[in-house]
Amino acid sequence: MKSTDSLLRAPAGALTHVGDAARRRRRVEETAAGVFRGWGYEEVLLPLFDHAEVFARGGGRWSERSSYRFTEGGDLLALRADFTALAARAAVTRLPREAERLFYRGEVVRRPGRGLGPSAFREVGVEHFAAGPGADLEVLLVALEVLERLGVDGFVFTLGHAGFPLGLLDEALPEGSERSERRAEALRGLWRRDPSRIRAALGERAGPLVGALELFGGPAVLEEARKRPLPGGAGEAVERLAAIVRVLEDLELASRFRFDLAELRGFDYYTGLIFEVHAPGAGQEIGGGGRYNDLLANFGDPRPAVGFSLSVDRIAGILPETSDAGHGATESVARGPDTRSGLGARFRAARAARASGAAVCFEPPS
Amino acid sequence: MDPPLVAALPTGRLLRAVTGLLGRAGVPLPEGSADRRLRLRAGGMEVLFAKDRDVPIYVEHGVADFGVVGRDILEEAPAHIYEPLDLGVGRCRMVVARPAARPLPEPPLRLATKYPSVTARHFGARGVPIELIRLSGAIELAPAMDLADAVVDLVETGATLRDNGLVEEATLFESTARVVVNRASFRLRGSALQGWLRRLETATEEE
Repeated sequence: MKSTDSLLRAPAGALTHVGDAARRRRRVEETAAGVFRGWGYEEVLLPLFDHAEVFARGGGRWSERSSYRFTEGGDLLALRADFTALAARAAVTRLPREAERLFYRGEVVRRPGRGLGPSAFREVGVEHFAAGPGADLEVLLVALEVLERLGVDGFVFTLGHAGFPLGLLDEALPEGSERSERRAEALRGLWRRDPSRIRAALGERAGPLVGALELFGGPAVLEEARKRPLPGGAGEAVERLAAIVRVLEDLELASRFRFDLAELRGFDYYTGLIFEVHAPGAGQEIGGGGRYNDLLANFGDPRPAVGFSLSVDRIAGILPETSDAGHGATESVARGPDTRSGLGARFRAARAARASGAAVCFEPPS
Repeated sequence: MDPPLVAALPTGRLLRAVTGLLGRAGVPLPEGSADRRLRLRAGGMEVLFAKDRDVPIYVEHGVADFGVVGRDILEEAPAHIYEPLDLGVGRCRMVVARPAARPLPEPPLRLATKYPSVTARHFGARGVPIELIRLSGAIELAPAMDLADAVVDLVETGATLRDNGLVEEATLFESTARVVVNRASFRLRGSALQGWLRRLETATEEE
């Protein structure tokens, strides 16, 4: 009785998707993979577990508390909680240096957050190991094309630049023993857009950073930011975003983009462009990414990198309805009796239909 | 035409504390509205009434665009949401309290609380070993019945503690009502939300 019990009972968080839910997820993955290949990205198949250290060096917020860790032969290993760290390590150790564009798809597993039990998320994403505005624009346009091809309605990209809030923060931090605590508290305030926390961390020097919380909206926020006195890094960040928006305007894509000069996405590993994608119907971001030029350096090879990931599950949840039944045109095959000749005739017809490229649909038994 | 914004409001003590503010900001809530219904329309918005601890969950998942919740809840169960406005009302303190007649013993301390994460973080950061006893309410009972050496709880005036023979040993943080905002709504419904936030901020300044 007991063994039957555990066969029928799924542990919390263990999800099986069938039918439409499965097809939608695969459609997101396959569409994304097609777009990625179309822009010259090569798929990398990454391991389901690795040294815990790899994820920690990847800097993802999932590394410490959210990954499942276990020991094997004296090594501390972790289940894949993040793709970026694995892709970065693969780029450094396994790939020729001229391999600049990678994509991945698959699941990441994380320890319980609010829910009970582990949670697995399907993701697709790219890493582009190159510097400059061309690489930044490229990954934005690749992500945009995936959503366009899937027919996602009303999606919005929000762009920021790590140099803006971090530049203001460095300027506001007093020297002294509490500097790193104050920095961490101010970052928590930024992530939560909580001015009181930023003021608590920075005191009377909090003004410019608190002011950054208001700098979100259309391209006019870049103009607004320029009017303020900005330290070097923050001023440069605004000019870099302005350069990107000018090209987006030339491409007549600017209506898809907004700006938020305070956004850091809850990470502090971004070094340049930061973006997040939202769409009506999804209560949480459907994707996001940015530039992390220190990432590969953590694996011993200082090379620039920019990338993003998209949430397959969240995008699948808001896809427009289709009549997609999961297969192409079908050819009906008569069933007949289960005799030697009946089975022979049935499967000869089926193989002929398959050879002509049709999907086979057996008629119900009479 | 965009659907109305959805606000998640806490039932109980905090709702009474913010009702006046919300009224001045253009969301009039009839007296006792949370007692009768879980959802209603007010000021062009859909209002949900949820348990305090559930408000951040509704907001994080985007079921509600924004909500009002005490800092105590956000400290206990951090959510991936924005906290742009401190309403300054419903002011309370998170405290460690012990029986007046019985100083804290040598650690490990037995602590009763509704806030296990806050408690573990506070004592953990100070290297004090503790045994956590998680209760659902009437926390003051635990030290009186010698179930715990002390409690970690939210107090407004401290009268309940005193009535039960407890004294405050330390304050962890001050808690007030916060406006919390879903991250996707902040992007997709930005101008409508900003309008409400500004009205609430103005109403707060009049307080």
